[in-house]
This record gives sequence, C-alpha cells and structure tokens, in this order.
Amino acid sequence: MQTLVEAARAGDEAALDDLVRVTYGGTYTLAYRLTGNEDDARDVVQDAYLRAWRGLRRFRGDAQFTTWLYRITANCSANLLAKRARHRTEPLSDDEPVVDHRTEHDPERQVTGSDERARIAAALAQLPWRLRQVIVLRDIYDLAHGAIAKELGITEAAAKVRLHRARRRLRDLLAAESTEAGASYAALGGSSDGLGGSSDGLGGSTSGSAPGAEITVADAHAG
Amino acid sequence: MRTLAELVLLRSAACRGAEGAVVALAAGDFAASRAAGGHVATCLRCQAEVVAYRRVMVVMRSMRDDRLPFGPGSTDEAVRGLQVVVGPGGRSGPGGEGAIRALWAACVGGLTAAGAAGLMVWIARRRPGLAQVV
Repeated sequence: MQTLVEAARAGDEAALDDLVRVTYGGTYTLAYRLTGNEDDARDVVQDAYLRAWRGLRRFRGDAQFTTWLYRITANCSANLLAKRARHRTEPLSDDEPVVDHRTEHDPERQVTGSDERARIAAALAQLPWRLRQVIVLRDIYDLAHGAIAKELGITEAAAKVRLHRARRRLRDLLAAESTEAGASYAALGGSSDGLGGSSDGLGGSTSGSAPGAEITVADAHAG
Repeated sequence: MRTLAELVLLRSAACRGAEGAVVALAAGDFAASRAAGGHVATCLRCQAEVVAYRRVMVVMRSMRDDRLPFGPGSTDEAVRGLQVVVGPGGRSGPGGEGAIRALWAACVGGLTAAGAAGLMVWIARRRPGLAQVV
C-alpha cells in the first residue's frame, strides 16, 4: 500500500488506479454506512477519490492511508447529507432514516451472514444520519473525537454529545428490536430477560412485561 | 414506609436515570458516567446492560474490516472518473490544481495590467497636456 501511495504521489497513473482498486471496498463500505444507500455511497466515493488525489501531496504518511481516506470520505458524506438536508422541500425530520429495509437488499446482512452483526447494522441504519455518522466513525472506524469533529464541521464537544446520544439510541433500538423479535439483546449478553433491560415495562416503555415479572425485577433489585 | 409498587417505580426511575451512565461505562468513559455510576454499581439490571452494550461495541469494532458488496463495474467507474482529471488533458500530477490556479492568476493579472495600460493611454489621448507628461 505504501509503495502504491508513493508511486501515485509521484504521478504514476497505474499506481493510482491500483490504489483505487485496493481501497475501493473499504471506502465504499464506509460511505454506504454513512449515507444509507448505494447511489449516494458511489457518489461519495467518487468525490472522496478526487479529493484524495488533489490532496495526495499533503498526505504526510504519519497516519495510515486508509484512515486518511476514511476521513475524506466522512467529510464528503457529511457535505452531501447536509446539502441534501438544506435543499429538502418537504418538512422531513432529521430523524427519518433514508434506508432500504428490504432484507434481500441489505448488503450488511449479505456480507456478515451473522444475525448479531446484521442486527447491529440494521439498528445503525435506523439512526438519524447525524447520530449515525459519529457512532460509525468512532465505534467502528475508531477515529478520534477531534478528527470526527473536524470532518463533520462541528465542535469536539458537539461530537461527543452526539456520540453519547447515538449510543443511547442504538441501545434502545437493539433492546426494542430484540423484544419484538423474541430474539434477545440478552443473546448479546443483554438484559431483556428476567432482570430486565430498560426496555421492559418498568425501566422503559417498549415491552409488555407481565406484572409477575415486575415483582421478580423488584426482588432482583432488592439485593 | 414505601409500598413495593412505589419501590419498583423508584428503582426503575433510577435505572432510567442511569441509562446514560450505562453506555458511558460500556464505552469506557468513566468520567461521563461518574454522576450515575453509583446506581449502576448496586444494580444488577444496569450491570447486565453494561455487559450487553460492551459486547455490542466489540462487535461494532470488528465491523471495520467488513467489505460490503458493490455493483459490478463500480471500481472501473471510479478509476475512469479519476482518469478524466488525472489522465491526458487533465493535470500532470497530484496536487496539480495549484499549477492551474497559478496559471489562472497569471492570466487575470496580465489582463488587468493590459487594461490599466490601455486606460492610461486612453486618458492621455483625451488630455494632450497629460500626454506630454506621460
């Protein structure tokens, strides 16, 4: 990878083509997770590569090339989504996710083959895009708070607040989903069981715990 | 003396109040969770939530290496898009946009200078006295 980057910086077009082919999968995956649909992801990736090419001389090599590319992708994605939000004519809420819920069209489910990962991916896709961006960049791609804030054009404090809200919302979505499906957040080690997560009738609002279960919960807490 | 129902309500409210602390603790953000951390330390239900969310975060971290399927030809399309800029007729090297900007600035500067000179000649012709000075 480093060799390709150096060659591309020196103006080697073949190296640049190879660099795109090597990194395309990861860049597209991030773009898809940030935007929630294939068309936008392709546009974001194209934009990201163009900007990466323009800034290649400024890439000092003190970070991984892929991390640098992911930051550019995050920035392109944020610009696209913010621009779209500004130009909306209908009063759509930020909370409305733009995702395709059909399982057969869910690339995450196709690739992971794991219910656990697919369930998390589906919950992430349901998050409002402003929250989804920060949690994807931080908890999946391990970008620093400062880097996330810079690429999204917000303050570091705002990025941290959004991240916290995103994690809480994700937890709620997973708990609600597991309650509805009968599968369990408990299967992930969670507590939609007798001890109850906050998604049951006591701590939260999404399940229908029987009164008897409530006493069990109270007993459990009494300890 | 509170009734059992009241205790249940109180406890669930305490758990709700600790929801933020649960995810913060799971994420290893102990400073953010300090305020409600006391409740979590004594609540089995919240502790189970911390464990559950920690597991979610482990799974999420492993998703970095996933590669979602993309349409056939997408990579070629991206390469072609770059070649429009990079290839023949495009810029000669990465960051070459600076050279284009410099050329553009030179053009604008030249035109401005020519315009100024033309203006001076025009003024000089209209004022013969000034023409002698010029």
